[in-house]
Formats: sequence, structure tokens, C-alpha cells
Amino acid sequence: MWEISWIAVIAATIIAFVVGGLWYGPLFLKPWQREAGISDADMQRRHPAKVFGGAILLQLFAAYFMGHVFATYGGLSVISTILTAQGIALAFIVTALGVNYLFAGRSLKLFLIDAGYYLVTYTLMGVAFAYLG
Amino acid sequence: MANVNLLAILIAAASGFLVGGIWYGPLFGKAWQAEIGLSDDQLKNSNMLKIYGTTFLFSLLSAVFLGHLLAHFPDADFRRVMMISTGIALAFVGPAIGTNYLFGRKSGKLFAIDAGYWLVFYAAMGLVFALLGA
Repeated sequence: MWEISWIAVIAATIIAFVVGGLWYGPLFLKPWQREAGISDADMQRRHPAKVFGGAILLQLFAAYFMGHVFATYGGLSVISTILTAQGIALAFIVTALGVNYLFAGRSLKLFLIDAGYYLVTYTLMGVAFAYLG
Repeated sequence: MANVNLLAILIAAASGFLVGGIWYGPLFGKAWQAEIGLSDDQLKNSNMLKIYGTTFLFSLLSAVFLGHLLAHFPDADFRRVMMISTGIALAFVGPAIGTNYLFGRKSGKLFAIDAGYWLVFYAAMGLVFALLGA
């Protein structure tokens, strides 16, 4: 139940940052900035150490618990592992973001960018656990 | 593996409305509004039918999957059902919202309100499945 593959946890965390760098970089940085109301000046003013440090800890935490989920299920096939990871993103994360964004009046576009990021990241985290976990 | 307790799913999804009404109403309504920066007029002008309708569909989706997940563990006692459901909010929903809010320059207070809501909502859903079965 708690025999968690640290290699997969670390790989899953690195994956989240690589996808994030691409997603909120070359792919969707401009639309994200526009929809989230983050100006170029804001981008320069933020505190990278706090933001990135916090994000790494949160991602490690999520990846560790994903490892716990797979260690509890035990012996899932590659496809079941990936589907389970995707299911977590779709059923629990995307739905939560959707509700929060609706009530806060955030745009559909921002929702699609952020929800898409989690679907892609969790799919690849599932791949990491399928092959390394 | 496949869950069929439709009654539990519906009640679990509906419990989100109850919890949400209290959480974003008397408890943290004003604090939440101040943090997201919407005026009373802006809130009044939002399309409530669309917001509540979509919210119910999202809640239903999460309840179906939570029930599906819990149906894998038919022998889980009350404590374990609650650990699984709150664990989802704590381990996956909270970190995702936290990461978005960090990069989106949202306040720690807004994060605490929104992430706290999901923890309570998932505890409520867990309670429904623990009592009615998945």
C-alpha cells in the first residue's frame, strides 16, 4: 500500500514541469496571460522561488499519492494505470476547476487551458507509473 | 467494479450544493467575493442557470467516479471510505488548485477557501457512500 516507486514519483514530477513549461510557455502562454489577467510586468514581478518551490512540493505530493493509489490497487496493466491517472484528472481535478472557474466568472478559455494541462500531465504521469512503478 | 448505486451518486452530487451553499454563503461568501474581486452587481448578472446546471453535471461526474473507485474496495470500513474520498481532495484537487493559483497570482486566502471547499465536499460525498454504499 505504501511501497511507492520513488523513481516514478520523481519522473512524474519532472514530467509535470516539462509539460507545464511547454503548456504555459510556447503553446499557451499568451492566451493564458490574457485570460488570467497576468500582465508582462506581473510576470517579472512574481517570486519564482516561492512559486516554483511551492509548485514542486505540491506536485511531489500529488505524485506520491498517485504512487500510493497504484500501490494499493497493485498489478494494474499499463492501460489501466494510464486510464486511472486520466480518470483522476478528469473526474476530480477538471470538475473542481470547472466549478471554481464558473462561480469566479473566469473564462471558458482559461478553463480549457488549465484543465487541458492537468489531463495531459496526469496522462503522462500515468505512463511514468505504468513503466517505472 | 462498476458501481450502480444511483441513489448514492445523486445524493453525493447533491451534497456538494448543500456544502457549497453554506461554504460560499454564510461561512466564506464575503471573503471569497473580496478575493476574486467580483462586485455584487457582477455576481447578480452572472447566468445562474448555466453555472448551477454545469456545476451539477461536474458534481455528478465526480460522484460517479468516486463511487466507481469505492466499489473497488467493497470491504472498506467507514474510516477507509472517508480516507479515500478526502484523500482525493487533499492529494489531487488541492495541489492542482494550489499550483494554478500560485502561477495565477491568486491569494493564499482564496486557495484556502477553494481547496477547503473541496475537502469538505469530498468528505460529504464519502459520508454518503459510507452510509448508502457505493
